[in-house]
Amino acid sequence: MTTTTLSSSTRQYLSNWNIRTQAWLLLEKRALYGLSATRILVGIAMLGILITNFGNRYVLWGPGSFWAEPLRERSEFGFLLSLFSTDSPLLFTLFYLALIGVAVAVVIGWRTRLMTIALVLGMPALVERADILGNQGDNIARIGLLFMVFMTTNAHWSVDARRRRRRVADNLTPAQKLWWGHPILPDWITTLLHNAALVALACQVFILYTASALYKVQGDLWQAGTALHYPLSLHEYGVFPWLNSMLTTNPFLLTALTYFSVYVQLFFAVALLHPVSRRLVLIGVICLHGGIAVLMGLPWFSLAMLAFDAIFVSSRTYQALQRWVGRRFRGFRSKIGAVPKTGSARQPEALGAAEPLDATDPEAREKPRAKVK
Amino acid sequence: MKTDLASETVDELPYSSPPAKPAPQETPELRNKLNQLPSAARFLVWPLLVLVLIHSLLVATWAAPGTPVREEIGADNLRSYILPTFEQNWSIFAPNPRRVAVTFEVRAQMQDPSSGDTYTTDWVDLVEGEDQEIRHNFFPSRTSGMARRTADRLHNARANMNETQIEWVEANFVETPIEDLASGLRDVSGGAGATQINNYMTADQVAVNLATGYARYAWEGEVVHVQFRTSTRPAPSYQNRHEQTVDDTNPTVREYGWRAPAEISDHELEYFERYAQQAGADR
Repeated sequence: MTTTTLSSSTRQYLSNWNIRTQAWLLLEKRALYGLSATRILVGIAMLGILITNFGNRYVLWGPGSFWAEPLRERSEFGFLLSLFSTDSPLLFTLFYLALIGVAVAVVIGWRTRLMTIALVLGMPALVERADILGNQGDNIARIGLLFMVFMTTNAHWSVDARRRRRRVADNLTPAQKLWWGHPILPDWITTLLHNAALVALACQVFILYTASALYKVQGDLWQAGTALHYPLSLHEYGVFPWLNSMLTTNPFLLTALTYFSVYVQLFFAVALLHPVSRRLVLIGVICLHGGIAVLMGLPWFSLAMLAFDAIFVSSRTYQALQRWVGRRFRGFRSKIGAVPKTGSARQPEALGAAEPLDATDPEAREKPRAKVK
Repeated sequence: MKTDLASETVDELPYSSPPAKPAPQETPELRNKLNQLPSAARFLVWPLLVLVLIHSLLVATWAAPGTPVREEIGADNLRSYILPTFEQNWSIFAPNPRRVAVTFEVRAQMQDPSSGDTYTTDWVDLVEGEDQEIRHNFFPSRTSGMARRTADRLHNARANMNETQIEWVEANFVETPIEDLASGLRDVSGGAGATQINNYMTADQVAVNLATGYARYAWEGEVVHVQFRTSTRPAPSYQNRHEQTVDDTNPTVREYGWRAPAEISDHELEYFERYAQQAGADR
């Protein structure tokens, strides 16, 4: 073997990688199911913040939030904070309700890109008016929503997707295309932007878990396996104090949960590389955030975090989930009599046959229905 | 259909996922597809990817513990890139988790407008009402952090203050403008630096606002002065978990001087009601 053959095979190898990288970024939009799930989950998280604080909206961020004025004067968000700056409770409530409407629109995928832009501006404009009360869920939601502006997050489970299927893109003017939700820019531009933003979002998630773990492994209480005992014994995180103490007084459970919290975060990025460990770490991260949501009273923080983990679940899993929900929903509908019961309706074969042809083909869902002649 | 379903289930098995390395003959096919795109598309891929990676590197440097990379980039440069859009902090519950409970107590000197008599109220802990908001509530409101986080900010800002600076903080500023506290703190050599003093002054004003809001709402008469004090008490160690709860440990109390009340309009005060009631005020 000579050096020339070595270098030519290396060149061949690099060239293949170059082609594969270009193909990954240019040929199709990735993680369309995952990002649709992300859209719904982060939308619900924002909606949750808005609704559960609705009763206290004036004192938190509105005309009664004079107490936070010194914080606002030093805020980095500057002009954005003036959006909700009004003495009128009526006007404030109207803006607040509009933001709730925007969050709902993002959840159901109505005019998704526009509504995502409105949400990524509206949420910080509101919650950063009292940044002292914020948490990292606000930050990850803002960053993730910003990346979502460049991505297609309405490919599935959305009003936009339904509208798009109703009218094919042929022979439409740009304005009509915009109205029916068809792209006006060339495919390669939107695909490239989508995938690049997806890479940026994935890196952001890796960074946050890895950094979080690197800080924890420095701590002697995390190493000692007792770390969780401390916050869970505070009133601050005492939603159900008896539940917290039940978990933390058992030495085996406490050590296991403490180590679990560190390991899930530490190994998150690496575990995604192998299909088995990917499933394990995704289940782990769901459990971790589920625990934080219930035990520590931080549901919207947890949901915002989970929303962006959703991009790492495969399209195939989402399709299986969709079929399962479809079957359950159909069963439920026939039970309440919304769907006429036929003899074979409950047979799996018949159900399978009744499913739309495109259910098994991720590509087909992207395409509009054949033009009706 | 049955067989289709079955084969899909097999596909779901972890071991049957696609091989890590695509077969080499795939590349010509991909190459053909790519060749159908405008050349600008292929030209832009790598620059865009590099941009994404540089961005991610900057975010990673910001989010991770301090490294020589951060020094090389420069803290201020990094800050100006990250803030406010990409602001994030992942040292939550780390290196060690939160293990103190705090109190934030307020009291006021009140004056009866008709008789001119003044009286000093009892201390009221605003954090207690915040704890109540959390208990048995899966969806606590953010009002559960107003006094608690203000106390945290005060404590952080005080952490590096030396004795002379603490004396300044404990002094009264009822006639003297509060700006004199800032300049007084700055003139002390050593102790807390400029950033911490600014943080302290912000937290002090927030604390005065909360104290005034509560006093105006809860107590009869005109507010003459307000005062707040804070404390921390440690969660009992794991070893002592059966002997003590967080409510039995010894608190460390931090004092602050009397302050002139904040100027709050009646209109603003009206909407403060929800918080004052959460803190236990009944009017």
